[in-house]
Amino acid sequence: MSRSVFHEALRHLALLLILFAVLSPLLWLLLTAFKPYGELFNNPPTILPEAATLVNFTEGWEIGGGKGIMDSLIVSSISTLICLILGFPAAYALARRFPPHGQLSFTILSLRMMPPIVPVIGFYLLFQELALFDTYTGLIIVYTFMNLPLVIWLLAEFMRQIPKSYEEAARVDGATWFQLFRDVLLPLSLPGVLTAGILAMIFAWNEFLFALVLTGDAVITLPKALASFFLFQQPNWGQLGAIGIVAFGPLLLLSYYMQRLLIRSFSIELGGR
Amino acid sequence: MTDIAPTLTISRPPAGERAKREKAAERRSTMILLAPALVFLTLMSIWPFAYLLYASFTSYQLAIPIPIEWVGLDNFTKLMGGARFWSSLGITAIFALVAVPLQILAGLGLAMLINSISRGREIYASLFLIPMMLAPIIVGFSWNLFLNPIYGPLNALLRSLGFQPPAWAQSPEWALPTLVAVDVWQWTPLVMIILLAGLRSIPPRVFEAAKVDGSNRVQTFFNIILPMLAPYMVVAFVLRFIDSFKVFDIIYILTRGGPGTSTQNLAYYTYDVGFSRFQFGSAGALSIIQLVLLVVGTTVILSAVRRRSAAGEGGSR
Repeated sequence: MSRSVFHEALRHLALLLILFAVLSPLLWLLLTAFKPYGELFNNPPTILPEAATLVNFTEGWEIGGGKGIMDSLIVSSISTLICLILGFPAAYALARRFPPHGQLSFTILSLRMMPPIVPVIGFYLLFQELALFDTYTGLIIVYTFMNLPLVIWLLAEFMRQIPKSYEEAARVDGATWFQLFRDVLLPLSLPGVLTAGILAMIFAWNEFLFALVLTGDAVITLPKALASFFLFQQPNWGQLGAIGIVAFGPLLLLSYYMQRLLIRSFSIELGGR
Repeated sequence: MTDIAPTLTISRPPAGERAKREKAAERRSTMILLAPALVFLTLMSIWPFAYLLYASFTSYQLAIPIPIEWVGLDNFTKLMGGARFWSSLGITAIFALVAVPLQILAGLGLAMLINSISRGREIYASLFLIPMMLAPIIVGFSWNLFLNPIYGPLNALLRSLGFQPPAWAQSPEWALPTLVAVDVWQWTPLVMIILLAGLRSIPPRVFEAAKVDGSNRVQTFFNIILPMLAPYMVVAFVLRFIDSFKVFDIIYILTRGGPGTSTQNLAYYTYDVGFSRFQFGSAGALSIIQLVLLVVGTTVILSAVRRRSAAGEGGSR
């Protein structure tokens, strides 16, 4: 018994050491966000900030972080909303009227596999023609295109778990399509809608290449704002770190939820057959 | 469709006409439900693709106001005659065929270790997931800072231990291995989570039976765990293979394709040709080559997997 406790402790120790090594670049960035400019380029570097400061957070917001957060919020939330509005009815049709793992689901999902560098040139030329270059509308269209296949597929997977009898009962009671949607389908598939929505939001929030190529000075999302700091030889790492923490740190809170979701999906997809 | 129609006809025997009408109504409603999404997806695939295809057969250059000429396959033949195309193809292949297997190995080790503890599995899984949850751009600049040859912490540590560390992303020999390492760092979590799902699918009685049969740890690993994880490893490999063509952000932030062109994969090369030199003809041709490579590569892998799994099932029965 005590031997197995010892082994368990050893494994925890190994995991903690690996975890520390893996996360150390991120921890370093976290510490850097609190260092004043003068301390950034010390050689050898200071581990803990000697004169800890919050100035990077206020400056980071002013030099582009604030604009970046606003633009990213606009583009990712609107595109996510459109994905859900277009995707919900399509997913319902796919779940109820087509076999699982059929040709149509596969075709829709395969769009997701395309590397973004392939459509980006086509979009660039098209957007020049349609005056959509460097507009919110343009980027929203592209992010909707990028996320819609996954949203449809995920929602359809969730809806297949809902028993048909609920809808049939509602129809027998004479419910209209809208009532069926509002009172039966939406509440029952809410976890699926939330999951698909969160994923679409994260992907749009993190996206870089489309934003880099398809926008100029009017629309500057977070990843693009951060990348623009790299034009300088010695970027202000403190400001970069501060923006990074504020803009991307909250996503990490979803990590627990995400590993559950992923383990469950892969178990269902591969083990359930 | 097929599973609803029979019940309708059976429950209402005389109403053949009505069943037909209901089926037509159902087909119509299916179309109405699907149409908005499918029209959007089709339009947004075909319309830009038409531009891409058109550009790739012409001398389309945005910055230079020369008339656009139809050049046929010139863009493709010129690209394939250049050394840069082949070196960027090689670098894409390194991400697909070196980084991905490393991710599978590291992910397997991590998943086995996490699965072997009895408390706190989910907490470790969540924390190890962090690199994958972050925007690639943040990954890029965390590593850029961490590996900075002058004021970065890693080299400071190595120097204090008496080593003479290289300049990592800025050195000609180390730039590519550095990028591969960062890619492995970022995507091992996905493999880990897929294999954790796989390990969870193995019923405990299988291990008990193996123990009763006197199988030692190594035997259990090779004879039971590995075969049962095989389908999960295949899925992880296919997903990562497809995604390895997408590597761009970390190259942009860590090396800008350099030193020289030593870390340009096909995606970065395409970006460089298209948006630094505005040669949309060549960039379009490069995009189409990548699409073809990806489709062919995925088809080959999937058909190999299907053939092997079919043979495996035939053999075991």
